[in-house]
Amino acid sequence: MTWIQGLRDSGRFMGSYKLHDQTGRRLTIRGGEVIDGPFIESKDAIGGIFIIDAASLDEAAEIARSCPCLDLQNGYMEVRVIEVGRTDAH
Amino acid sequence: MRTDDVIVALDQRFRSCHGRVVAALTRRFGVQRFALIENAVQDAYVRALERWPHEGTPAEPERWLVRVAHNAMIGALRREAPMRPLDASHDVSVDPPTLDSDDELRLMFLCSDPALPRAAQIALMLNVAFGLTAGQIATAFVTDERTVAQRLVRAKKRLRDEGVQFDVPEANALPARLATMLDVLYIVFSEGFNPTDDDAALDTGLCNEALRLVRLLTETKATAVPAAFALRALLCFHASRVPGRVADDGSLLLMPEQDRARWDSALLSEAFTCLNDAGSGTELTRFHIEAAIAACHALGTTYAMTDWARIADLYDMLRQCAPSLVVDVNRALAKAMDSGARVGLDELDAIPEREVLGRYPYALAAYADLHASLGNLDEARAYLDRALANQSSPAQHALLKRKRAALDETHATVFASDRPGARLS
Repeated sequence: MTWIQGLRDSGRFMGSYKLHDQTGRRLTIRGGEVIDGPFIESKDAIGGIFIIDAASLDEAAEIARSCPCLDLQNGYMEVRVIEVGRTDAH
Repeated sequence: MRTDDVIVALDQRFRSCHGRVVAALTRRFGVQRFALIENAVQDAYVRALERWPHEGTPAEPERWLVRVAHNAMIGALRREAPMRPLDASHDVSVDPPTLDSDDELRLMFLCSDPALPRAAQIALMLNVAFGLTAGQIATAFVTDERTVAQRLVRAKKRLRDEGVQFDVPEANALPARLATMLDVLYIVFSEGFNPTDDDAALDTGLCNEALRLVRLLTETKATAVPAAFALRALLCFHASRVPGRVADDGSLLLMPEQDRARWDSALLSEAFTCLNDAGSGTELTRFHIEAAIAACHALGTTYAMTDWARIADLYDMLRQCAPSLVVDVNRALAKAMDSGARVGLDELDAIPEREVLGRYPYALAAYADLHASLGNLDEARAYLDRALANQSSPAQHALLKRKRAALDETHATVFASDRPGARLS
C-alpha cells in the first residue's frame, strides 16, 4: 500500500490555518520575507489608465476636476489604451 | 521542427519531470547526496539534448533520464571513494530506481523540514523539486540571486547534517508542511505566469505543473483541505486568462486590451466550483481572498466595469491576513480604480518599506501610471525610467518601454500645441 493510500484510509488530517487567535491579534508579522504573486492590478492591468495626447489630456483634466470618480475617466481612457496598443502593433 | 523549438520543448519536458526524477534518485541514494544527484540529473539532460534530437525521444523518456542519471551517480560515487568497498547502492548492475508517483509529494514534504527556516524550505522546494534557478527564485522573493544561492547551500547542508531521511512526515506534521507546499505551488505558478528570464510572456509548462500538483493535492484525502481548494481556484482563475493574455506577436496584452470571450470557460467553471468547495471549512487563508479577488475580475464585463469597491475591501482583508508591500501596491491600484488616482498615490506613499519599493518595478510602474492619469507626465516618465533601470522580465521590459515611448509621444504633442501640461493634483 502506498503512503498516500495509507493516509487516505486513515482519514486523519486536520487543517489549521487561523487568521486570528482568540484575542483577535494578527498572527502574521510584517517584515518577514516578501512573496510576489500573480496579482492582476499591478501585472496584468497596469496601463489601463493612460493618456496619450494633449487634446485628450486637457479633456481628461476637465473631467477629472469635475468628477473625481474614476469610472468615467477610465471609461474614456480605456478606449485610448486599446488604440495605442493597436498602433504599436503596426 | 526547428532546433530551437526542439530545445524549448525538451526544456519544458525536463522541467515537468524534474521532481519525479530527483525524487527517485533521492529515495535510492539519500538526502545526503543531493548535490551529486542534481549534477547527475543535469548530466542526463545534457546527454538527452545531445542525443534525442538525432535519435528521437525514447519511448519512456523519464525512465531514460533516471537510468542515465543513476549511472552517472554510480560513477561519481566511485570517483569519490575508489577504495571503499561497494555496497548495493554503488552496484551498477542493480536496476535504477523506478518512478513512483508518490515520490514527488514525498520530496516536496521532505524539503519542508521544520529544521529549516521557512524561506529556505520554500527556496529548496522550488530548486530541488521544480528545477527553478536561484535567479528565478530571487524574483519570487523580491530579493537578489546571491541571497537565494546562499540560502540553498545552507539548506542542503542542514539537511545533510540533520541526517534527514527520505521518508513520510507524521500525520500531525502534515498540516504545517502542506502550508509550505501550497506556497511553493503558488510561486511556481506565479513564475510561469510572469517568467523571470524567458523572452516569452508566459511559461505554460510551469503553470501546468503547479495546476497538476494542486489538483493532486485536492484529490488526495489527506491533503484535500480548504486552503488547497482555494489555491486551486486561484490558479484556475488566472490560467483561464491565458488565451486572452498573449497577442499574436507574443507580446503581453493588458487586461483592458484582452478579449474576455477568449478566456477559458472550462477553467473558470473549475475555479468557481473549487472556490465554493474552499468555503467548506471555518478557516480563511490568503488564497481564499486572492481567489475571491480573481473571481471579481472574472465577473467584470470590462476592466472598468469591475466591482472595484469589493476588490478594495478584499485587499483590506488580505492586508490583515498576509501583509506585504506587494499586497499594498495592488491594493493601492484597486483603491485608485475605486476612488481616483490621487487616493492610489496616497496609498502607495503610505507603504513603509521605501527601500524595497524603490527597486520593485511593479511599484514604480504603478506610480508612473497613477501620475500619468493625473497628467503629471514628468513624474510618470521619471518613474518609468526607474522601473526600466530595475530588473524585470523581457516581456515586462518590452511593455514598460512601449509605455515609455507613448509618454514621449504625449510630451511631444503637449509641446507642439504650446500649452503647459494640465496639472490636476
